[in-house]
Amino acid sequence: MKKIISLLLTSLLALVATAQNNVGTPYSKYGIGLMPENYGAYVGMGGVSAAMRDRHNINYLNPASYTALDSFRFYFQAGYAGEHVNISSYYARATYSVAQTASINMGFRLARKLYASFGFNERSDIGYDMRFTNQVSGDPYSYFFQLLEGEGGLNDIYLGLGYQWGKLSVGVNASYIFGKVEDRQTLEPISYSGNPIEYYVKTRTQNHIHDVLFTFGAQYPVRVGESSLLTIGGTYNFGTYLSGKRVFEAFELTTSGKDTTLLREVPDHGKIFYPARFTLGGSYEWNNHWQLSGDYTFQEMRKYKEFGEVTEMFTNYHKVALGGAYTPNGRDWWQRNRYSVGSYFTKSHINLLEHNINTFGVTLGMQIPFYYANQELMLGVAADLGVRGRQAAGLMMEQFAKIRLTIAFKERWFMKPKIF
Amino acid sequence: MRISPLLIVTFFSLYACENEISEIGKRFEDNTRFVEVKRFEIEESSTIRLDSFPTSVGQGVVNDTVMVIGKTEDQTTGTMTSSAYFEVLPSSIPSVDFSESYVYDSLTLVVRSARTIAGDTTAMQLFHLYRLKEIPYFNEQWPYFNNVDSVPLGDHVGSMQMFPQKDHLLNTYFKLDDEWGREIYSLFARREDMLTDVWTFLDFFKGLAIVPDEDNSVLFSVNSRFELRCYYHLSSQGDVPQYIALGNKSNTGIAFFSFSRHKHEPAPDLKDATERSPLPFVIHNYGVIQGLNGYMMKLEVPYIQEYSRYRTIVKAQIAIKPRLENFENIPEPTRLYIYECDELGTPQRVLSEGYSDPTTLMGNERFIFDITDFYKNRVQKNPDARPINLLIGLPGFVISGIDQVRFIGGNVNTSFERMIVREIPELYIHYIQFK
Repeated sequence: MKKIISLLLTSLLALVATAQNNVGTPYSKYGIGLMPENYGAYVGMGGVSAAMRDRHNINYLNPASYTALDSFRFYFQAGYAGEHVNISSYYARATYSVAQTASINMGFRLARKLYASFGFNERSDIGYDMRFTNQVSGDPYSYFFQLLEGEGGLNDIYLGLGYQWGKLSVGVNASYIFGKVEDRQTLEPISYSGNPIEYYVKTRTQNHIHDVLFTFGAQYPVRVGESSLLTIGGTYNFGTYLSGKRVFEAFELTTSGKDTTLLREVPDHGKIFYPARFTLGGSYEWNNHWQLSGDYTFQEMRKYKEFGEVTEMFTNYHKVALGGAYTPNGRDWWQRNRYSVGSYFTKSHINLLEHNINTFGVTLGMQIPFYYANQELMLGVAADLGVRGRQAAGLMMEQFAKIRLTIAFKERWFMKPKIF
Repeated sequence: MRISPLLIVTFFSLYACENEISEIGKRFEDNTRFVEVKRFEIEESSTIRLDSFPTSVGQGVVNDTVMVIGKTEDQTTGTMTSSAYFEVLPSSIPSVDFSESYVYDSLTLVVRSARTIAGDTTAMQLFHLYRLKEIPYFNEQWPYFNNVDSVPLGDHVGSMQMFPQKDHLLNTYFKLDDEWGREIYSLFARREDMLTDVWTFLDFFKGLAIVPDEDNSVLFSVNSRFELRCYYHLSSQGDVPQYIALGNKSNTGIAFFSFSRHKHEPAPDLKDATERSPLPFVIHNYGVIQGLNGYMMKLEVPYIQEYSRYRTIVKAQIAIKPRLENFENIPEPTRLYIYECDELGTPQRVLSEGYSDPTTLMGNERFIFDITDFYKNRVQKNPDARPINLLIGLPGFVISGIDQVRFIGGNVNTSFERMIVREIPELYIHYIQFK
């Protein structure tokens, strides 16, 4: 009964989440949106992933790690993230709070050395709501409202395979990337008297994106001494053209409620070039208690293109993450938990007013195991405190506090009863 | 698992949160989408003087109840003389027995002022009342009179001198010639048949005209419902005079007919302005809008077509700036109308939203006319290259006469308000660049 209730609540949470704006930052306005800086199964360790493999978590960021899963269990893992952000510039301040379903993943063994995972992940988020009052060009006494709204983002449904060949594990995730990026704009002049002028304009740009992206991964654990394990790993995806369709519509509205379509451009079928991305990392485990891991991620976002046009403000993406974890492995409740700490720095691909929008975060996390007769549940809670952007040069700084909740079930599915 | 409910509540509360972002991001938003106002001087601006406009009131489609009488002269527009011509009809025949015990007192014409004055009010004003030689001819198909003489004046039957202060204007009247008064009285005393036959009475009476003296300096508005009163009383009592009224409507319900004659001697600057021959603004650097003498401004509005498909007009306005100094005691209009006209200046219609009250912005008073729908339709929705001609004048309406000939009625006939436009009119077009 408890299992049913838990699954229902989880599904409900997922459904609610799909109806929400995922983020609320104006920095998500560009390209395909804001790519998550710290996600995956190891958020508490700064989001390291390349060399991480264990039997408790589905590390869907590196498909080679699937070979570390228990061979006789079916894994279900869901990640949720909640975020409260304080945005400030030199002249204004605002806050927003959002929650999102970040991932739903499942994993199991297919054959002796072949493991599989499938699920749903978020690739990017767009969610902003900016309201400006601007001066009308050519008339110092007139103003207009400008409302910029955006929502959507990219998701993927993936099927991944991991194969162990000796010590070397290799894997691939075939992700079907899909999503809609929608930008809306309202331009509404205001008369001298402060009343809206009768005519105003709304526009809507929708980019529908879909295609398949392959991410390859490898991990190689090396025993270093009796009680130490060093793992190196990496992932890579080739630069890939994603199919896209762009529809631009403009509507003229009147304050009395009449609306007219000004323009509806013929859907523009084209390609979005998603540049190559790699992550390299290493992990060092000692005595089954301590783990230290580090990652470096690079994506050549300078080559990002939408419908043949290079986005001038984009530069290459870099991320460095470092994390550590400690598992006491004792008998008491607190000794069975896994405690983690981490940090990451992202030099994002967005460059505004000659400044990169960088992100720095520190993380703390804890994974709490619960054991039942045929099940294991790993509840992961991680906090991510960080800063994105800066106030200088007319930009804005976002101070965020994120909580990520990961629930991972493991159930024995593939054990045959032994009859005496 | 006890922790699960707490976590779920926490996440649900986050899902319910709203963004509160405003103004942030403005500095780095690449604002290629904007609202812009472009200003264009309407170089083809001119003053015209209407050749003809309806001056009849009280009958037909023009149903004003205000007329203007008087004369004024100013240096800007010249001399304006307005006279009132009107019929009076017996409205009823008293039931009293006009035996020898009743005697005639006087015949007076009561003039009710509408209390609008223009001109020099420091001098006595003299008005003359004439009996008309002919019945004013009313053409059902062409119910208009223009600003030239049209009905000859007959006998001078009275005069009125008054000091043109507003309080004095409330109770003004002409004392008419007694000999003619007794003649009118005797018609009623004898109960002449013509008193019940409107057309016979009109043929006898013809009509009256109030004509200002050449030395007058004031124009003022009067109610067009003039009333002729023939006073009588019982000779034995000697007081409590009673009167027989001849007025606006006959006892058979036939309406009265009045019209004005507006005679204008233009100032030298404006003498060449006619309806078909506009006087360009740039010649004297001013334009005139005025009632009675038919001055209006004609604008050929620039045809500005934007070729970007990502741009649309959200507002089109015409702005005119009046001269603020008013040395000549002529009231300024508080509202102006804008009319569509053809290339020749013939009015076609009042633009639906085309009126303006003065707007004061940063100490500058101006009239701003909203012509958005009209301009969008002409330039953006159904573009054609025909010139966009507009007239700006006092509030009024457009009347179609025979052969689709159109006239402007309204304040052009009933108000002497004037505006001098000192700066060349401008066209403001508000665009939204949406991509």
